[in-house]
Amino acid sequence: MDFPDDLRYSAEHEWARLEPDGDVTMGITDYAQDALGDVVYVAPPAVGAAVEKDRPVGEVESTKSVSEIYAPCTGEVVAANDTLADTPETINSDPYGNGWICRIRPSNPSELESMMDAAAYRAMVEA
Amino acid sequence: LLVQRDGPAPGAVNMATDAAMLEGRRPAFRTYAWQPHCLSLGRFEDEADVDRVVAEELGIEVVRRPTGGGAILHGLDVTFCLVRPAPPGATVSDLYSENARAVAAGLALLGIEASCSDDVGSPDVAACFAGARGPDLRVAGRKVCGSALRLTRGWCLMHGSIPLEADWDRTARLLPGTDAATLARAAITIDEVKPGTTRADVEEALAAGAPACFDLAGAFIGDEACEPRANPQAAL
Repeated sequence: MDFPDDLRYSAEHEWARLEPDGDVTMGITDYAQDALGDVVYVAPPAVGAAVEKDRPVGEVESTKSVSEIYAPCTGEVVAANDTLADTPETINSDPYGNGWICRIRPSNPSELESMMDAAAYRAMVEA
Repeated sequence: LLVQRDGPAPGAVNMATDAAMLEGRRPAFRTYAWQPHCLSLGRFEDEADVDRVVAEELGIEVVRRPTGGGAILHGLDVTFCLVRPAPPGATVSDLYSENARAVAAGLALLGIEASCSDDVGSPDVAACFAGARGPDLRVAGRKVCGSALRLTRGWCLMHGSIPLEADWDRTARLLPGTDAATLARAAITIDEVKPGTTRADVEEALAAGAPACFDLAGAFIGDEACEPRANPQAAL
């Protein structure tokens, strides 16, 4: 199980990365993809959509199961990973890389500080 | 666990009721029926899979479920909704397995032995009953319960459908590309397993057997609790 140190983590198993340009890239964690099983469909948010921290921002389907994805911060969606429409399994194979789901321009980047660091998230899922 | 047995209702009412139960975060098990008969699509199924002209001709509604999976024609089935917590650390596979064991406990009260099996995978068609996957309950190797989940903030909604009688011809007409003979081979009905079993029999058995597998907070309490003999109060 992978827990990259440069990411922040939510209790609902999303990861978030503050990029150098100030935007936030997000996806679901290695732990989450493993618990879901084979991902067969991803519904990312629309570019331009306003999102609110901890509110649903998208959905994934795996093994006839639909799971909500929650926004790590409030802001505007500035990019969505359209390649997941054809290759949703990328969420399983590369959750922190090509399996990213969307990028958000945060209205308050300090919201990420309330998320867990890698050590805290690892402790939560291994408890 | 709240146990609720509802009569027939339109598709939109049934889906709204289930969504409200999930939103309410209260452990519950509800059985229900559909009037008019209704084709339910999985959350992300393509509406283009449905022949709307045939649906209108047959007087069948079309509704979208919040859960995943494939299309199911409801009317000659018993449908149920289970709402329960998804405990931390539980995988989708774990939840399917526990829920399936609870449904199997209900069917066992009818003398029907249903079990999960090795994953053979579903064929790539729109109809749920065209194939079984590992967590799907089967009798004699054929799918007896279609099921799908929705997970939201630590809670799980399971939809399930148990066919009372074969409705494969209408299903195939509604879903071009689906073959009625394939459905008849892949799925099995209660009428085939236990002829003479009524809708009320199945609803009563599910309502007695499945909730007995969960505690008041909705936590799965194990295989032993699912044994009908271990729960005399659950016997019919």
